[in-house]
Amino acid sequence: MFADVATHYLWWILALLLIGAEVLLPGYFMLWIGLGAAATGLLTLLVPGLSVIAQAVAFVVLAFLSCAAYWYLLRPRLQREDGDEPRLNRRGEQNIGQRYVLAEAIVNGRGKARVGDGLWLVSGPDLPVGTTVEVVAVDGNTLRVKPAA
Amino acid sequence: MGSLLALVVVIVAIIVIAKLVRIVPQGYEWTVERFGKYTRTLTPGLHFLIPFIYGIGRKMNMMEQVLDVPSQDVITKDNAVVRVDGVVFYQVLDAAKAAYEVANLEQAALALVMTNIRTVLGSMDLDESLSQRDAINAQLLRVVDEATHPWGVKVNRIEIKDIAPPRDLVDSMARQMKAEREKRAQILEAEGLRQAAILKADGEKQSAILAADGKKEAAFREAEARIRLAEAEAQATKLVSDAIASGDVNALNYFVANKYVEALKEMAHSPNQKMLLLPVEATGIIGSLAGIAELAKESLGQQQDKNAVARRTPPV
Repeated sequence: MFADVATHYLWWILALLLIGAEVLLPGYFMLWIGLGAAATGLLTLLVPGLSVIAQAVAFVVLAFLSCAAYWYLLRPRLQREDGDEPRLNRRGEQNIGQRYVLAEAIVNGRGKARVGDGLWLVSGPDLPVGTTVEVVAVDGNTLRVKPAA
Repeated sequence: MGSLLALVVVIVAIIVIAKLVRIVPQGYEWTVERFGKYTRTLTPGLHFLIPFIYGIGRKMNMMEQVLDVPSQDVITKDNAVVRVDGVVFYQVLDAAKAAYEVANLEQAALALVMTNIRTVLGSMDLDESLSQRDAINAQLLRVVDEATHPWGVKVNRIEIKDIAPPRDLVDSMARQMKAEREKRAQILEAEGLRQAAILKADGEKQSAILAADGKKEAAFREAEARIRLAEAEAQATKLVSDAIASGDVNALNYFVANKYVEALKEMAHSPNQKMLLLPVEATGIIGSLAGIAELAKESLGQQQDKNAVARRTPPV
């Protein structure tokens, strides 16, 4: 099947095709497979006489290894830079640290605060209406509050 | 055969890795299920999920969404049928709850809003419902937000877009408004006429009073003038009679004669050539002349007396 061409060239062609497809197509999985293919090509060049099956197994292992390398080496570094808007699409969390006025007294740990032109459910210590509270955390669509100092 | 196996191995590996890597786009959260049971939620970004064991459950949109409330017929408290439509703005805050607590979030939210619109408008009469949009919106928001809370959803806004009474009702409302305005116009007009009439009458009254006042004043002054004149005449007469009493009657005669002659002179100067002056009473004039002669005689006589006295006295 690949008799007339040196197999490491085949792996590199595959690698380039995958990396090219990565740019064109959505889904970010081909990059690591491509890297695995390139590494397999290098391996077949360095270790001549590998059987096709061995090459395929090596490719599978190397592809998973490249994934693991990203996950354990690169990802922690990338996660440290959180982006400009870490709270994008997290409407609840955008309220943390803000101060609001209770529109309904907190009774049995539940009440309502006026946020913008609407009301949010809040949970916290029992407080009368009109108290200013500070949001400390968010559980889904309930704001956890404490009386503002 | 070996190379075919190798090819299959490579293809399977590619498929497995393709399933391993998961990219959640910004604005979405995906739920993860392990053998069909919910375990966790994937936030936007890149994740690795072990295939065969873990699978993606629901892909929840975490952006604020707009839901059109289709228009429906609602009966108000005073039995008017109005067509109402609106919009709902909501946002999923808890992907897991929104995915699993409710079967069809949009449909459920919509049903809730529609029934509550009926409830709220059913407790108002037509005029109220047309003018109290804010109150309706606030009440709807309060109820729906509370009800959707268990689904991990926050309803941010509910707006009634349009409240449309039936055609004939709108026409009669327009008529009512027109009649109202016409009534006001007529009242104002009548008011204006009344005011004008009052002002006019008032003016006439004032002018009559002022005219009468003027007449009265004038009469008073005339009477006063006559009194003054009479007084002056009386005084003059008194002065003349006093003068006569203390002097000679001939002095009076002199004056009369003087006046008489002057009058004659005036008449002679008259431009009317046809006028023939006949002395009224030649004797009168003569008499007055005699008066003058008397006067002269008297004074001369006194002079002669003085002279006689002077002659009788011998020079010293």
